[in-house]
Amino acid sequence: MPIELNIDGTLCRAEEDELLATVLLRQPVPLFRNHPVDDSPRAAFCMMGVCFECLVEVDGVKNQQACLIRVKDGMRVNRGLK
Amino acid sequence: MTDLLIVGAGPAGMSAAIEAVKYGIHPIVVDNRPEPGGNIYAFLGSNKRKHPERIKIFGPDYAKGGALIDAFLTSVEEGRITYHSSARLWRIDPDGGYAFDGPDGSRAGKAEQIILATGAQERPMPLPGWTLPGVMGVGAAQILMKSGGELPAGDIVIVGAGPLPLLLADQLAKAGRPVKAMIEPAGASRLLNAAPHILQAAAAPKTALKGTLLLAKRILRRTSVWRNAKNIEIVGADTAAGVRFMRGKTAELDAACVLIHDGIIPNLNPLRAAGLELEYSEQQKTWHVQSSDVIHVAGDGAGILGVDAAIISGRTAAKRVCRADPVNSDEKAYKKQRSFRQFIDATYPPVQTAGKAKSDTVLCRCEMIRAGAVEAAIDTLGADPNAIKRALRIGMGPCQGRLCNHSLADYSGTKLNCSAKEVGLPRARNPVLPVSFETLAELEE
Repeated sequence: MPIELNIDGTLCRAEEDELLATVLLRQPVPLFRNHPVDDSPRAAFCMMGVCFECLVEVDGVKNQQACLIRVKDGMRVNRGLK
Repeated sequence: MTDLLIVGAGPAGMSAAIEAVKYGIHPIVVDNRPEPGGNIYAFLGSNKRKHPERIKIFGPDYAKGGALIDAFLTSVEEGRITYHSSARLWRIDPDGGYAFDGPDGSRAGKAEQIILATGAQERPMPLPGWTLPGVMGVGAAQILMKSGGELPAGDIVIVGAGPLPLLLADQLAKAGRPVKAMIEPAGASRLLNAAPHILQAAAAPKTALKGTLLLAKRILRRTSVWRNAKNIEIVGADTAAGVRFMRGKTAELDAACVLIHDGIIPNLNPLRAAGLELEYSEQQKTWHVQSSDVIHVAGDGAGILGVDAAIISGRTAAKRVCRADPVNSDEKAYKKQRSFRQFIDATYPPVQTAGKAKSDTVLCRCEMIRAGAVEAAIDTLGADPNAIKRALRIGMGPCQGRLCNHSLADYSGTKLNCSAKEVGLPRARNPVLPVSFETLAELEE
């Protein structure tokens, strides 16, 4: 079943129960965040919850591992890209 | 007090839980993914229901996990196993104390016995440019595909050698995304010269060996392979654009997606926080742990032996917890897996790229600590990984050293002309995962 989530203010379609990281990698700009130390762009790297490169804000909660979370209808994702 | 806590719902964790039920124990299983399966059977359950076309890409070795997942979920439905999915274990104590948080809130408690089936991860492979978007682990790419995702559009190049890169190259071809080239770092593969010799020596399962060799032959025939590559770097400004390497002279291949792999290692952080004893394995160039009277380690967390061994070791760990004797056929099958692994380890030794890192290569991705800074710290502080960690913050970011502890040991070992074993790992402490003050406050006393 298709659902809709909000990524940085833009509505995006996804399949219900997909991984958030999988959906973010499909976006036109497939980035997750700018690194807090040097602002370099980062994307999901390990897909198994160990590297913490895929951290995004989900429904107001910061630093969520996108590779371990499923998307839900109405989910609000903030990547805070610069 | 909890009877039995099992951490991880991969092959070892599921098999341990199912076995414990047979002895009248009701285990609690905690796993950080939304559905059971671990890495090897990731999303197998939902793919079977909704995307059978994906099962075809990953073949019978993936599909065969379905029976284990079904048996596990049936026991969960029948109320014989309590299963917390999407739950993060963030504390584990040597005496059985634990805490985790998940969709049902935060829990803390004490278990009489714990089975840690926390699995494996890819060995970090620090190379220049490995933090660029478009660069992923080979295993990561496979999980992404199992979850229904696609690799970035454009050419795919694999840097690495071993069974997993070969398998993924085959699966990518089936998915209509053939790999443009495989670049094998110098020292990564001894398949051509060592295989016949080792084949005779290893009393390994013949079909598994044959499968690996056939796969290697098939992939290597149709994919361009650059062997013995040196000075490998991933190039690109804001995203991966190619791979540059030396093979006599400098060569460069364009690639929008660079998949790197240097074998797999146990996911050591939870095991170390639990205070288990570490032992360095020269064969696998990583640390293995010993179970204690309270905490038992099952599956690849105890040393990389693969899925069939993981299922046996999960069952054996549950038997130990229930004070039952191991089964003879299990012991025999486990030994076979060990000999097969000896062949794999001898054929595809880890390159340990961190040992040869140039001064501007990033070792710690979270704190952006480069090899040069570590070299300077070694000059003044010596090899003590705890002193270097305190001085540089290496390993103190969100991943807590999962992606740099090994690299620090390998790099320090090269600089001081000793083994990573002598350097050792910095101390691992609870919490093993970042945890919010809100979660801490939610805990009942």
